[in-house]
Amino acid sequence: MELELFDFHADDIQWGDRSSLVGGQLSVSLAEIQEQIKDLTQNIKWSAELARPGESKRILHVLDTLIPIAKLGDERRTFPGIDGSARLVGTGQTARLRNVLVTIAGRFPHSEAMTPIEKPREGLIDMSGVGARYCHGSDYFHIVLTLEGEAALSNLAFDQALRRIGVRVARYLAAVQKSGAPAERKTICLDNVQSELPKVVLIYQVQSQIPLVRTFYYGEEISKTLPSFVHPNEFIDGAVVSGTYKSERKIPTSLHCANPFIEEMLKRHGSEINFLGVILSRGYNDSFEQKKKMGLWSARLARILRADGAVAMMEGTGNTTVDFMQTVKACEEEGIKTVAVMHEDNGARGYERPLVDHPAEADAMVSRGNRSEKLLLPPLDEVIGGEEIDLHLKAKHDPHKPLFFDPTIFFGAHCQMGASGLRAAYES
Amino acid sequence: MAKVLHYLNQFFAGIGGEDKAGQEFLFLPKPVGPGVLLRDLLKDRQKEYATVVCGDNYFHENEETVLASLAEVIVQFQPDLFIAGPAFHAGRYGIACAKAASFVHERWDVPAVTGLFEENPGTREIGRHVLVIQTGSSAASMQSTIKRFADLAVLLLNNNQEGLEAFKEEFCLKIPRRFTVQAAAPDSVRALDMLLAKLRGGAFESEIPRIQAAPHPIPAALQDISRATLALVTEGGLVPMGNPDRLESSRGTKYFKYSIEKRDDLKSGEFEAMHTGYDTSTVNADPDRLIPVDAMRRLEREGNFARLHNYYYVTTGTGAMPAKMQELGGGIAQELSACGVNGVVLTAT
Repeated sequence: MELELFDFHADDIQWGDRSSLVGGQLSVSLAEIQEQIKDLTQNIKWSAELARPGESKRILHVLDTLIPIAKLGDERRTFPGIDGSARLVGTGQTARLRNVLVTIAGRFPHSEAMTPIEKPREGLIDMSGVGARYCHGSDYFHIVLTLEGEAALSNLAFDQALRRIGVRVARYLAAVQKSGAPAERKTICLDNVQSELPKVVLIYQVQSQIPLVRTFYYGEEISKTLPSFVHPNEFIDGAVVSGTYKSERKIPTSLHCANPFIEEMLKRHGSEINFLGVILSRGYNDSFEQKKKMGLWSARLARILRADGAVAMMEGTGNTTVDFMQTVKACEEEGIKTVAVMHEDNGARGYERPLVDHPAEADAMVSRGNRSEKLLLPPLDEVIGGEEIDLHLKAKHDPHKPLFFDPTIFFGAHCQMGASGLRAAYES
Repeated sequence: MAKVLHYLNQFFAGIGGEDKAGQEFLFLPKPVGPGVLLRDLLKDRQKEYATVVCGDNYFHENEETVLASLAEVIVQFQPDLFIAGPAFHAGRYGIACAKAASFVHERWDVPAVTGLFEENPGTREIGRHVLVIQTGSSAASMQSTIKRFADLAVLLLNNNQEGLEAFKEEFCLKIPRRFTVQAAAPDSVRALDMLLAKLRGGAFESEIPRIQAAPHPIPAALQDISRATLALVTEGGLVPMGNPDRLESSRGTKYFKYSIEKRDDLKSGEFEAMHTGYDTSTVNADPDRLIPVDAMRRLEREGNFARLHNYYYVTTGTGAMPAKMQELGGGIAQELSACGVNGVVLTAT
């Protein structure tokens, strides 16, 4: 299975009459975007803004980010099953705007009707300043679409619409006319490696519980399903899409498509490791027995794939740690050496137990830092995506005033803290 | 030349003892109590020395108000250094010193120093980068502690990093706590490096220490349940509709009790669950599913136990900090025990 990937990079982004990538200049036509999404926005008011790395800009209420990807000659094929009928992905040619994000911001039309578990968490993206290294996206160019659903739209209809809008615009942007824009061309294929290299899988546990808190694979909700083998090329082509709004812990769609773990394993494939592919599993199973079984099945799949080792990562926090640790334990019991990556919750004062569950088998942990340590966040010059920061308990905060909060206020915080190289350590 | 602001409680400010613990927050444009000696030791260094005073009880009962008043003082006085205490082994005072010093340091980046005995509960409230001078357990060591405060103040005001490190090593309390630091590489790179080391049988160091929860043995059964008073307790976040006390929906730091006296069951629309960790819709449809007043009343009528306690207790368990939960659990148990409750039905979600 072979994918040819064409990575384009933008040096700047601006509005234009026609969307195009000329040299490094990405021009985006609002009218053309309007044309793309008009059938999806019958009951949605929307506005668009641009944001660039290093700008003094804070994006509020971020619900998802998507990286523009389109199949050459058949741009409707990426993100299978979300907007149209699914076809297999992971082969052929894909164009990607590597440092651009389609960013969907906004609020659900009936947030008062949501139970606490359904309610989106505030997700900020700070394009510069203290917060930049805690949120996913501060090093990307953004086309921010702020959506406001009318009362006629249900929360579930809004959920579906925002996903389809994101996918449409991401496909459309990746397919714009390009001239004088050199592409970095990569062929991604897992065949033909030296047999003496250690065989390694990536175990990829996502959050998928109920509508508004779920993850999709080819458009299907990953719930109570068995762990599945997924080829890294399928991730790159958008087979896994986020539908959860637990902002701080969420793996945004853009990070399903361009995941640092998958990229690092592909980079070392054939030289240091034999990357076998990804085991996609689900956390937040209801009972201990189910959590344990999800771990057993993941380990069994890794064994069938003949893995010597595994890197395990998870989306979520709290009780899903048990699902994750049961997976690590089961892998070790199957003789698969495992390294597990997690955030820590050491408390604002740093003395709390780092993990809620930590069996002896999890003897090789990589830390993503203490997510409960408070930060002083000075305001940024411009605020887009909303007018007030949502804190817990319906409290509001004026985004033009300094904010004293922990990294859980940021969009994609767990992932980005890890990618920024943050970890927790003892300090006296 | 620098400005120093010193926090003291009512006792060390010379206002009075326990009878004056309700003393409101007070600003004095001069040193008082141990501040006089410290001002003298820093004579050459500071140009202004002011004191804020607050009664120990007043601080704990009005923390938000006190910190808001402290904020106003910081903005007006603009201190270069904040000193709190020393509080030695005094618990309420120690916590107040730790909170005040952490507040000032974290919100305004003003260097902050306090002094505590190692067993003072205030050591649990110390913010990152707040310096805690180790003291004896009583004010007998006041003189020597103030001299250390002065030495540290000079190092801080001179920004003498080397001297600070040496001072910390010798005189500051070592409180092992975990905070975020910068590693040399992203998590994905470190994870693969660690995996390769593990696969080769080489040395690797896990980045997260394995700290196990303290075991919680199941308590012995009640001897005679028919004579027992039972109470309902939950971490499931059930509160009266509208959440009047603003219980957090995750990472709870409080607990509340609500009356179920004269109630035979809990009705939908009168209670709601504040909890981000489970789908609360079934509990909202029938709150007895979480706090089973209906079943308990029936068992009570049938004489299976003597009496259902008039209040249920509630906190939010999801995303909670174990040490905080231990504290809340202890508080609930103490209150119930004082009311003569013999057993608890504890519902978890």
